[in-house]
Amino acid sequence: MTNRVSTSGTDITLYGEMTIYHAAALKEAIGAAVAQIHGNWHVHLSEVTELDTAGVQLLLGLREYARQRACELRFVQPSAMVREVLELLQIPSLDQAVEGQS
Amino acid sequence: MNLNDALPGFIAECADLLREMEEGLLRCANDAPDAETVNLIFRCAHTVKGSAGLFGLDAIVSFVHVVETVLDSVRLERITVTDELITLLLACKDHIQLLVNQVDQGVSADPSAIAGGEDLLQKLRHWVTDPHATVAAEHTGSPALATNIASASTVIADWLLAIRFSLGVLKAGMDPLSFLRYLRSFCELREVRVLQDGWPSWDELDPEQCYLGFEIELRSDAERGRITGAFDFIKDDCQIQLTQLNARVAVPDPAEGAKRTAAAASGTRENPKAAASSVASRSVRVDSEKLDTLITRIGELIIAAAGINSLAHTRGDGALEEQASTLTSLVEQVREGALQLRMVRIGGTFERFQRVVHDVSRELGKEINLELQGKDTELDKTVVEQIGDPLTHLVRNAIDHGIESAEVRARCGKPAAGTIRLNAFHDSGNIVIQVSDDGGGLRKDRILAKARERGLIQEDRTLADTEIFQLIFEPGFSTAEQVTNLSGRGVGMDVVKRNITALRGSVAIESTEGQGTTVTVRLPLTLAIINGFQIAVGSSNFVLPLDAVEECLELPAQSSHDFTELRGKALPFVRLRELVGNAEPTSRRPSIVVVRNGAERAGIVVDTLLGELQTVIKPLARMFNKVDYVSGSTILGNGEVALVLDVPALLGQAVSRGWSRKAL
Repeated sequence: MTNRVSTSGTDITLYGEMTIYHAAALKEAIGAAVAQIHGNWHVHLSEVTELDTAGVQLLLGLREYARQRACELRFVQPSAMVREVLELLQIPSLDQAVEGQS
Repeated sequence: MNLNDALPGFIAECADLLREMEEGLLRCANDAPDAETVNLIFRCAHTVKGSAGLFGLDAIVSFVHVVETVLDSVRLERITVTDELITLLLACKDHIQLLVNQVDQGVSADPSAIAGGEDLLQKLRHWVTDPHATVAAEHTGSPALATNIASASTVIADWLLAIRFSLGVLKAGMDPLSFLRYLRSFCELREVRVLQDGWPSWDELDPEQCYLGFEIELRSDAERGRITGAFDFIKDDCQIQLTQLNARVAVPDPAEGAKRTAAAASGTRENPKAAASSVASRSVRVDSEKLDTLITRIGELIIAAAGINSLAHTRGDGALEEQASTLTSLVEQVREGALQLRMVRIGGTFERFQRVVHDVSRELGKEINLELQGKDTELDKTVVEQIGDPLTHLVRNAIDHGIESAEVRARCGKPAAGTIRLNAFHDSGNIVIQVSDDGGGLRKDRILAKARERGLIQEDRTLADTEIFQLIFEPGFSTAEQVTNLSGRGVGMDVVKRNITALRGSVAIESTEGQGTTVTVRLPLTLAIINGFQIAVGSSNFVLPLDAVEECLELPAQSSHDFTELRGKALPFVRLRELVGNAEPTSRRPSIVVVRNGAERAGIVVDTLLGELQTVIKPLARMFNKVDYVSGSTILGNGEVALVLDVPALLGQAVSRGWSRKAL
């Protein structure tokens, strides 16, 4: 299976299709990636080519996770596909800001 | 987790919708179009488009979109419904069906289909952009239509839609986002809130389940049914709550508007659809292959039960015999039930002829009314499927050759519009389908002349009417003076007869010159299982369909000729022993089984009468095709094979022998 998630420092980049077909593998990979990061999470979405409900759910789930761990979460450079979906769902921003840090 | 699993459902849904659309269009062609019908047609096209979009079938979506645009203009009264438009839309419906079929068969569109589609699109665009059409509509639109449409289209309401999905919706291959996209195509999504309450923590989150819900404020001129209809495709996988927040009317008169709003809010408008869908939800779609397998198994069960029955009988075990007879009666009920499952109303097939009549009558410039009777008559699904083509041929023939041109009809004092009548009813285990017309009738002299010319009959032979009419089923026989596009080339009636005979049916013609023709097709109700009457010649067993058997008599001792007397009437008969060439000696006095097919009666002389049984007909191998008095074989309870006799064929033999003997 191709690499769907890569990390470098506090940056996490997601690749390819964020769909139900890959949701299980993606969740595991994202979980593993964030576990290595101490501090704030920056998630790059520029390489996401497809996003369905399962994908949206993962992003929203990740936000909850960040909130729970009191991490700051920023989503960076959403691809056109991601922007289209966020627009449809009228989600202005997925970011999770931690009080006092924003 | 693949959309392909849902594809057969889509194909079947499309077929239903397109059929509904066709019925609607034909209704518009016959009567003045009313708003409800126009809405129905529009909804059908719209739903097809929406579903096709879910499967990413872009070719269908883009084509239907143009059709929908035209229909919308009709709905909004921008264009008037003309005959020409109906014909065009019918052609479009055919093209959509073609596209859907191609998806079904997994083939890509062939060039001629693409060209056909382009051609239709050209014509459709002409309708949407034609400025004259708009002007015409203002003058000719019916007032009832105008007000109805207006009230439907000018109420703009705000709605609150709350939707929750089942956990498994994603695994079922559905993506709730696509439904939102679809909703967006006709609603303004003013505010979308993603409901995230009750979510599991990240660790417990199963990424393949759906926890999402939406609350959407939307503004639309669509009716309630149309909004909830957007989610029809996943209605088993979601809960929808739709609340109307307010309604605004986009017409200047507020009083009028309030009334309309009330009407729209009370939801009277969606009733027809609601009723239709509740009917649909009470029935289940079953793959016909599953049904066939079930019937085959029940067939085996019947044979097994008969085996136990005869075993119990030979053992002389009373208790076992009693149990066996209980089993038999239960099996019989199961068989009845299973066969009932395969029974479908002939109405669906009949309705198809509305279209045939519409097309053919326009092609020939004749005005034709189609009357349908006995639409609720039920018959086996396989029979229904196979009777369509022969019936189409008969109907086309009736329109082309039967019904005269308007001038000729006027001269004969008949109404200008011809009438074609389709009728169906049950008669002694058969279904009878009649195609009648009130046209010119068959001309016996012409048929005879033609038959003599072709050497089909001898010059000096005289024939009964029914025999003369049967001649038109001879291959290559046609008396039409002019060969039209449709028929008259003498290809057809023989094929019709062959198809019907292949279904173990028969076809007869009655005709009165100047008054019309009635073609009567007689078919067995089912092809698979029959109640049989077992008989024997020597040690060979035979089965007659019980429905055809009228009574049994003793053969009078001194009958050397091939007919006897039954209640004052001559009864021709065949000796089965001679027919099958059985030379075993017999000590028994032979019996006559009287069989009937339609109005004809004949006797079959046999050695032994063995009584009733249920039996499964197995087709005979091709090499026995020439044996024309046998329609199949069956396995008896004791494992022996019996031949199933073909009653119409035997009757034919008996009657013709009777005739020839008399002629001698």
